[in-house]
Amino acid sequence: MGHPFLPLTDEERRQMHKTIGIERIEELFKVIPSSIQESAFFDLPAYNETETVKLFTQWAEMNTPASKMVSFLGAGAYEHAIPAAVKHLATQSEFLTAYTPYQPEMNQGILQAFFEYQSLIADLTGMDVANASMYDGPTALAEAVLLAGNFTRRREILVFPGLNPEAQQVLEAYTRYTNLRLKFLSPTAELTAPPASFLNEQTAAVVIQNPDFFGQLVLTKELLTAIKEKGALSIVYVNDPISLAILEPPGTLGADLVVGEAQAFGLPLSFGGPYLGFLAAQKTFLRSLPGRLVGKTTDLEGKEGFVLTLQTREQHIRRERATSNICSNQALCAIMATIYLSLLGPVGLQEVAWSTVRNSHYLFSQLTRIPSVKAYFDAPFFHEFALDLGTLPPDFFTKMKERGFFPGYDLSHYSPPLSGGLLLYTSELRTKDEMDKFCAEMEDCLS
Amino acid sequence: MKRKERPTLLKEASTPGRRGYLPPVSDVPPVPAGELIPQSFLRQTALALPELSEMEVTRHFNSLAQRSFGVDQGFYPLGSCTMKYNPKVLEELSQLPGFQGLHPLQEETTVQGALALLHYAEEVFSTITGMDEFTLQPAAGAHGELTGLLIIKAALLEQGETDRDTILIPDSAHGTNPASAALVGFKVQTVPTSPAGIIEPETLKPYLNSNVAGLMLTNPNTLGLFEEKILTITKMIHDIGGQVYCDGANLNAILGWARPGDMGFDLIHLNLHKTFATPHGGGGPGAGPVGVKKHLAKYLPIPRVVSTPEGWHWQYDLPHSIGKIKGYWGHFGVIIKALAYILQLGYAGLKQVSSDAVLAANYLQTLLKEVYHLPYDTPCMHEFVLSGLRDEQSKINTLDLAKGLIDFGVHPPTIYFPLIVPEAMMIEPTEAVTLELLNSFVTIMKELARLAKEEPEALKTAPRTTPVRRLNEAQAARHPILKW
Repeated sequence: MGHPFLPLTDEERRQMHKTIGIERIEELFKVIPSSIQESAFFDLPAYNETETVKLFTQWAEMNTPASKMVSFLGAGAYEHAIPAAVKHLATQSEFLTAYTPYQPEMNQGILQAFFEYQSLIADLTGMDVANASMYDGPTALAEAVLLAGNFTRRREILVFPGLNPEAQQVLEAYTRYTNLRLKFLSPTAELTAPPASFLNEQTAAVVIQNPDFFGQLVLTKELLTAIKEKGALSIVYVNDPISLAILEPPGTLGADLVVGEAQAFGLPLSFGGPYLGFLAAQKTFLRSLPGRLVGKTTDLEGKEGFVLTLQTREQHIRRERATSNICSNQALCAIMATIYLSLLGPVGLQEVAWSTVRNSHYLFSQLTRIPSVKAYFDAPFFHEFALDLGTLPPDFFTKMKERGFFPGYDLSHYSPPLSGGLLLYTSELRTKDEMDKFCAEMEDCLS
Repeated sequence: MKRKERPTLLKEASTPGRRGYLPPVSDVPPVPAGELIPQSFLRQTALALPELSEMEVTRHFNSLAQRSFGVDQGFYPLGSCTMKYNPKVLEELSQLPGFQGLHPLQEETTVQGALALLHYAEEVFSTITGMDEFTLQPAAGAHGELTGLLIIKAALLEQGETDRDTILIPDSAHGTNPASAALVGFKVQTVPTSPAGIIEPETLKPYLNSNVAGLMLTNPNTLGLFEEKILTITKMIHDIGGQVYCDGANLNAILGWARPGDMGFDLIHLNLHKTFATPHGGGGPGAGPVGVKKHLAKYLPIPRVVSTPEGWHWQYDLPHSIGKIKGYWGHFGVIIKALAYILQLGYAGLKQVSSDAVLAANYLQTLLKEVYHLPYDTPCMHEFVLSGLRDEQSKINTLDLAKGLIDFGVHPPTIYFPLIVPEAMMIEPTEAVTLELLNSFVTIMKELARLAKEEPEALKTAPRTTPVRRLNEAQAARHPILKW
């Protein structure tokens, strides 16, 4: 058959049969038991490119994307402005269609991009080292927790309140059959004040999200110091690393491991994936890290170059004793993040961070003027905040959608449910005009 | 490849004051920063990021691209990775605003097209593999293995089978198999490959006992050979109460010819970036959907997408589920591409994919075994493994040959894997080849054999045409420099 994905012609196939010494292709498959071959048929028609585009466009047009609405949905996935150059540069075929750079001489460009990515993540988080990416934030957290258990040989993992529920669920699934015990802490005053009496000698690590799921700033040097004094590791989870542009980096405050979700660095929302997990650590943990690491070295002429390194940690060499099973990672997403950060630079990234902060605080002040609306918490927040709207009208989300708004994340889906709760995120894309209109519609809808 | 100097690192190229992008700036009434966020939380340490114009960033990444090599640049017979051609339309489809602009937590009514697509993709994967149900959550092949093993563990614990703590894995398996088993707390028992390159029931028998939770098997295996005794093997494992897991990395050999579900496998992961042409992206993102037979469906990750007369929904209320193994619903953007690839081929096209992939591999094997040692001399499936040069006196090893290939503009095959073959070169041409390309590869490989005999130094010092020569990997590991 002639098909664009199948370059061989029938004539070429015939010549190849002759070289191999077969009459028919079936001869190469005769090792497969005939009973299996007989049941292998399935009914699946083929579409040409035009028909395929039409079909997928129909599916796409059945959706109402957040990107076309005035959206205040965040809760772990954050829409930001993405420079056009990110897509153009990242989807060049040399990056897009290469694989893991097992042959370093042939893929110095990709290796250098990973080295630059590692450097940028390490600098932003204030850490010594970062790996070349993880699948996403939640799996990066789970791997960091496993690392902490193996490193400390302790069994208890304390999780601060306010961890993204996606991350919490993934952490539960990853640790269910290990010897680690997860303990989810309830919000109390003693959590934020030393001497961290919630810790004991079995505590392997403490997981703290900052800003937390509700946007609140909870991370302090005192807290991390108190954890260290008890011999436990601190793992800081960052769900929007744009916050690192203006907040003191967790590494500088004393965190042992900083992990998180870097989708905000130039990756589209794309219904939840592919995203980009990052994992950064103090150098003590270097040989315990999961995933690929790129290092700088020299060639036989003394010229600088880059290679995958410390591979004896990895599954293809260490097998069941590897630090992780990860093989494919999020390479292209890491390249996108590297391009994003190069374009934004320190000034641009801080502008983005401050714009989200200014917008969220403006929106907060306007919405809390509505009589039935109350703030859930009173801690300082970054670009997201939780409101108690009281009893929501039954068709609240539909009504707001009809008026052009995704009003935020419905906290009645949160566990435990906060009924009437709404979590709102304001990106730098929101304007004062949009927010004023939103407030007017909210007041109308809630009255 | 031109031997130009390495592009300056972004940090070294930085010039204070340059801007690469102007983001939208908040237009709300100004408030002093300290009133928004308390000073104690704010950054005291300087923010070290490079400062570059868009033009400089563009030239930087273009020059990195020029020092990289993908499937679009040339032949990439990297065994076990299925480096097939990635059709251009796939990228465009995944970038449609109605897909790319979707927030994962939107109300179900606003994402019906996305849910319909995911549901259909699950059905198509089930059909192709002969499984009953699929999850699209796993991010990559190894992540699929982890998911499958969590499912096996959950099923065992529910049946009170706490003694079943061992997973059997052939010595030819991918390293991810034992690493994934260990992550779930299983012990790993290695089963030896027979002299014929496959698992023989007689060899397997001594490993079977009441502690066995299951067997992980790649079929065709990493030697490129179909496990001919598969029906006996899966029955043996089932008879002792175990599950059989299929590492689907090599599915490109059997599309339309055989279905793992019909072979008796209970679980399988797919590698969409291998079999279904989604770009490898320099090492990811991939996607590793997992399919199971009915008896394991209740353990699949939450949420499941379900179809009802009113539309598609997320179903969370599944008490037996292993929970979530990834944020949100998996690599949606990758799943779109894989489905679009499959639908452009249909059943006949998919079967032709495997026919051509197997034909191309056998063609190369036939011609290369004249000069290279072929340890398992039998028709192969979609890939085959050579064991160095036939000339046993040669000082040229597989690494030298691989580096020699680079100078001819070919990406080397997978080398030194599988571990059971000395000096292994694992060659997978895929179906995306022309006869001319295959012949030119054979010519190059024969030329390398000639060089090995007549000018071994030329290979010992290869590559010479690349931006850097052979790199000192020992130095990199001994004195790690992992950031600027």
